[in-house]
Amino acid sequence: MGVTILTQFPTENRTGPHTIDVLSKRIMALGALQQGQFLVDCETYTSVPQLGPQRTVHVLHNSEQPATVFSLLETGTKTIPLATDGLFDLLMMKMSSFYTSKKQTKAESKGPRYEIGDFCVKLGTVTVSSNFKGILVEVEYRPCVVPAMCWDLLKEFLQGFLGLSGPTNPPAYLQNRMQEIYSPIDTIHQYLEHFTIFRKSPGIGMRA
Amino acid sequence: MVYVRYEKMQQREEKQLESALESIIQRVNDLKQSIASMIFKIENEYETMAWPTFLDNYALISGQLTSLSKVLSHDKCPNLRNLTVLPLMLSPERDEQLAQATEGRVTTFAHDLVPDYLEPNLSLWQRIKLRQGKNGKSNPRLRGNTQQNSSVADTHLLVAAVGMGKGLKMGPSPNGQPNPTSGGMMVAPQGRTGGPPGQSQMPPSTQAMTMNKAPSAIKTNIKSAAQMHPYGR
Amino acid sequence: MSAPGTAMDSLSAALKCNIIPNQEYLLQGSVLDQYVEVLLHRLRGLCDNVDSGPESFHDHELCFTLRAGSGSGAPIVLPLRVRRALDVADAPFQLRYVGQQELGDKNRPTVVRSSIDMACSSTIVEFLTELGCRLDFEYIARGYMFRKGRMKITVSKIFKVAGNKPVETVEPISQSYLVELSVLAPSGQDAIGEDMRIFAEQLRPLVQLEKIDYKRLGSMM
Repeated sequence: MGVTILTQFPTENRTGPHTIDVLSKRIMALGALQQGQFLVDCETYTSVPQLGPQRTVHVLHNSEQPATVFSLLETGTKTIPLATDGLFDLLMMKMSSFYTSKKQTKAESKGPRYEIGDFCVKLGTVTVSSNFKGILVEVEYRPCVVPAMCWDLLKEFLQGFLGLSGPTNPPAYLQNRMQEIYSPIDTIHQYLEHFTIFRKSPGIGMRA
Repeated sequence: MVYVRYEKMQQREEKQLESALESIIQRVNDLKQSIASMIFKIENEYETMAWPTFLDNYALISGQLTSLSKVLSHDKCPNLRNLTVLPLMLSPERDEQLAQATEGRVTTFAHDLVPDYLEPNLSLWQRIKLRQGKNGKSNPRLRGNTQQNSSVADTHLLVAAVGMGKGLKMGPSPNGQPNPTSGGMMVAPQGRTGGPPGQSQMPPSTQAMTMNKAPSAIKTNIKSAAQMHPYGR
Repeated sequence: MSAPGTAMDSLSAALKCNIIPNQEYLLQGSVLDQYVEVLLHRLRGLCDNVDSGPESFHDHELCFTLRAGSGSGAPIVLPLRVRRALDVADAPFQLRYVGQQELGDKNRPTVVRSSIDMACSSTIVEFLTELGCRLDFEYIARGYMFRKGRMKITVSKIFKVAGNKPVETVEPISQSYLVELSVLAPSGQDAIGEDMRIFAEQLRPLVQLEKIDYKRLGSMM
């Protein structure tokens, strides 16, 4: 997987689907072709009090890596990543006496997926527990795996079709990792970052 | 009248014996053929023969042995133990008829081949010793092979160790850094999988935990660890 | 262009169709050190890949438990195992949940227990530790693995981990090798047990593969 940047796109006074429509038209005008759909979802579990200080496990799936289940364990002081086979979900079910999930926090980003040259663009509609929260755009530059080497190119591409709403700085998560090799778990970290923000924000009130 | 009945009974018994012997001889011949064909296979096809085919031969021989023993234990078969074999002539020389009948395998019906019929005059103890062989060990075939290649005690030891850590369990790690945020007894490996030595007692390990932690954190750990330690010594 | 189903949806569907291999059928036995070569030779003849020979392995297994007091009675315990290869660098780790042996039909030829097996990244040990698990025990297993169809046969020497370095200074815990015959399959395929029993017969009298309830051994020994 190449370096991937996630960025929110404000809906202003448009509805979710309308915003997606606008962005789709822009990206297709640049010559992109739609290649199916994508889905990234996140379920969060918290430890039961009998286990001591609270810990949180976020379990994420990315349709781009269909055979993998990603988990991020937050202890409060550190975050430990884990990648496993699909059966991890079954194991989490077995652990329900220790880690319980609050269904109201289930977050999802899904929508169309476009390919244009070496870029892959995903226009995601984010919902938390089926409530529309916003638009999240994911752009991957496939040939490069070192963020520092392609950040400028990605920034230019993003600003190209997102205009002034495009990011000017690398995502917070990547800022200390610009020289490291990028891997799929980094995309997952970014999704969790955004899902956390979306979960805290009030619903926009317009259903997706 | 009594004599006639007795004669008829004898005739019937003789007929039974004859038919039983026929049946036994037939079964023994079949068995002999199976063994011969297996030996042939081993000698000529050993390069290409598969183990299951080899085992099939054994299965066949085993089946034949079973049917032979069935015949011997059948009601219609007279108790051969009660019949005696009476030698008509004793001679140490080669017996041509016998040699022909056995395809050259047996040339004399001697006591080393058939000790039960032609035993030298031994006492009971001497006979027992003879059966046991020169080195006094009992016949392994009588004892059964099961304990020779695998030990039941070892099996239990291994299964219990792998299944629930019997003999492998250890106390708290003296070199692990207990994470104050996690409750209870933790083994926190520092970048590698933890392997603390054997069965260390509680007190020395808690003393070792003094490294980088504030005293209050240690006290908390000792308390919660003591509560949760399942092997209260 | 329909949206992709969620991973949970496909897992639920797979569970319903009973295609997830979440059950282990198991027989265990042992063979004395001096006869292990004979056993390996026989297994080589009986199993697949006669030409290439058996696969050897040198693994380190760590056995964790996640415990929480339930207030009323006994604490709830969830056992989890992590296995990593010591002889292959960068091999994925293996995470395993093994359930209790199913009590039930005494006539069943094998042990049957639920088993969830998955590959995972090397962060698993730190993950489990921070999750609240504690390391109960560990051991090193070194030996050979054979396959016959979907049956897996392992012949392993088990070593106790002594000292801080798992790879060095290890001592064997017995003078025998542990022999295990297992199949991982979706639940309800009890015919497998019969196939395993028949295969086990072919290894007699070298090794007696049986179903052993280790919980009972714990109270006896």
